[in-house]
Formats: sequence, structure tokens, C-alpha cells
Amino acid sequence: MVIANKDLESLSMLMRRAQGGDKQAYSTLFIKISPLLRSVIAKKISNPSDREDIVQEIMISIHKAGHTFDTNRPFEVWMYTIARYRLNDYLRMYYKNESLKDKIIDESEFFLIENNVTNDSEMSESISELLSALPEKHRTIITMMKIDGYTAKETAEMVNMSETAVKVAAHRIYKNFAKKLRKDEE
Amino acid sequence: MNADELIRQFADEGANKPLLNPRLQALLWVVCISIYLLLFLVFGGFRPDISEKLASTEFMLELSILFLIGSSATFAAFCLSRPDGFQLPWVKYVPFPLIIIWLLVAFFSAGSGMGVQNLWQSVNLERYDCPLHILFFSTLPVIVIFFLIRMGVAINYYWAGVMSTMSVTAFAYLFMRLVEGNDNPAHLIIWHIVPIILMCLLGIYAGRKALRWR
Repeated sequence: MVIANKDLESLSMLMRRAQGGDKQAYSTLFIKISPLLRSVIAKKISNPSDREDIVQEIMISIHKAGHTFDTNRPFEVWMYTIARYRLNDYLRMYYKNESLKDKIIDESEFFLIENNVTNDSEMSESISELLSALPEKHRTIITMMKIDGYTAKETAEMVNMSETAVKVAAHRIYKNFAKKLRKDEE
Repeated sequence: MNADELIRQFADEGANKPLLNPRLQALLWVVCISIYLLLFLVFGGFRPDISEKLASTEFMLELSILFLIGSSATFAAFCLSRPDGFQLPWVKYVPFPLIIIWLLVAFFSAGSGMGVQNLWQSVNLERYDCPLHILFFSTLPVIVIFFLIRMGVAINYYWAGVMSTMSVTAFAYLFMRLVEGNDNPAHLIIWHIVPIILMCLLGIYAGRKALRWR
């Protein structure tokens, strides 16, 4: 993103005036930088609602870090460093969540295939026992997802939880099941 | 909340007052830690051969370079408390050539005094009091400088951590050279430099934990 020198000067000047207590200059500064931030983020993030969230997150960071800006230096470098830092934060969180989702799906499928849950009557009995020992909410999640065939999203809506929370809960239950079943087999 | 409301809220709150210039912050810090060092020297006492040592060009050069290492690391730490590193990306590398020059000045004449045998003998002497003195000298300033760095916004928190620690430990080493009458290079390496290196490594970890901007 290249900004004309005149604009650059005015951004630094606006920040200087804002640091001197000029609230109007501060407001003008944010009005000027928000389209710049939007255009940068638009190149990296496709989801429009996420895009707006990140832009606001960056604006909050710029507001919080305002005391670290030296008005004798270009505002652009300072602003884009903060923008890049926040964008990287977002991407790190995003990929972390994505890999968690993949892990949950992989492990639950591994568990079901490994234990051949549907065909083995003895195993089914054990699972029924384990299910009955679960708290009601957990039992509902497992029953809906693995017996009634609802998706995680549908289950989440029914039990009033977020989709990720449902997947995490299911993952933990599967892990506990697998552990208990292996113990029984031994 | 939409962006317009957010901007209105920012305008109501107003911009935060700027921090002091990093040069000024570093200057104040160096003055303060020098006074702290003098106080320690007043209470701890100088090494017995201090007048002789102060007349030695080599020793004075070593102390001057240590002072420069501490000062440059301090300036780097305060620059790194800005998200853009005060737009001086090279500043964090400045202490390293100085460290090399200092090593050459301080240990060049040592020669055979640094053999493995001597280093091992020095380890066996178990002079734990030296690292403890360094730690005792450094603890308070490290806490204070971390607090000062946290007043800014450190994006390169690893670097900020190591520079903050180095800015203090360079003065701690200088202090030890003024109070301890032992010039044995093997002793200095094992009981002064190695603990300082460990403290700087710990500074990297502490930087991640304490200085990271969330």
C-alpha cells in the first residue's frame, strides 16, 4: 500500500495533534486510516465479517499503542507494523482452530473404525453402559452425533452450545470411551 | 459495534500521551543504573588493587566497552518497546560487535590461561558467590526495566527481553570487575560470563512471558 507523501505527513500531523489533546484530529485520523486498513486486510482475508473484525481489532490496537508513536517518524510504518502483528495473531488462531477441528474428526473416526462399534454386540453393550454413565448434556451430544446422525452444527444448535465446543466435548468423550474400553479389553 | 461507533469512542477517550523518546529513556536509565552501581560499590568496596587497575589502559578499555555494551543494549531495549522498533531495525544488533571487541580486549592476552584444563579447574573451585553477586545486583534493575518496557508495546518481545537483560548484566559484570580482585580468565568465563549468558537466555523466555503484547 503506497500513500502519497502529503497524506503521510497529514497522518503524522493528525496523530501529533491528537497526542496534544485534539479529539477531532484523532477522529479524522481513524476515519482516514480505516479504508487503508480495510484494503490491506481484504487482500489477505476472504470472509467479510472476519475482515471487519480484524480491522476493528487493529484500530483498537492502534488506539491502545498510540503513546508509542513518535511523530517525527512516518506514521505508515508504525501503523502497518501493528496491522501485520494483529493479522498474524488472527491467522495463528485461525489455523490453530482449524487443526483442532481436523484432529477431532480424525480421532473420533479412528476410534469408531478401530472398535467396530456398530457390529460388535458386546462392544455395543459396553458403550451403552458408558453412555448411561455420562452427564445428560454429554449423552445428548453423543447420541445425536453418532446414533441419530446429526451434524456438529445441528447438535450445537439443539444443545445451545457453539459448534467448536460441541466438537471439543465429543472429542473428550471419545477419548474417555476409548480409554475405558481398552481397559475393559485388558 | 461498528467502525463508526468505535471511532467515536476513541475520539471521546482521546489519544494517550506519548512516551519519552527512547534516547532520553535510555539516558535516564544509564544514569540511574550508574548511580545504583556506585551505591553497590560504596557498600561493597572496591577490589584491593583498584588504583593499579585504574591506571591500566587495558582494564579501562574493558570497562568502557562494557559500559558501551550496557548503554547500547538499553537503547535497543527501549526502541524495541515500540511496535516498529523506533524504525531502527539494526539497533538490536549493535551490542554484538561490541561484545566481540570486548572479548578480544579482555581475553586476548589471556592465551594459555583459558585451556580446557584451567576451565575445568575453575569449575571445581565452586565459586557460587560470583553468580550470586551478579544475580543480587541484577534482580531489581531487571524487574524495573521490564516494567518500563511493558509501558510500551513490544512486538519483538524475545529481542526486548534479551536486550533488557543484557542492559543490566553488562553493568553487573562491570560491577564484579570493580569489586573482585580475580583476573583469572578461566574464572571470569565460568563464574561470570556463563551465568550472564544463562541470565540473558532466561531474559528471552521472560520477554515472551512478560513483554508480549496481547
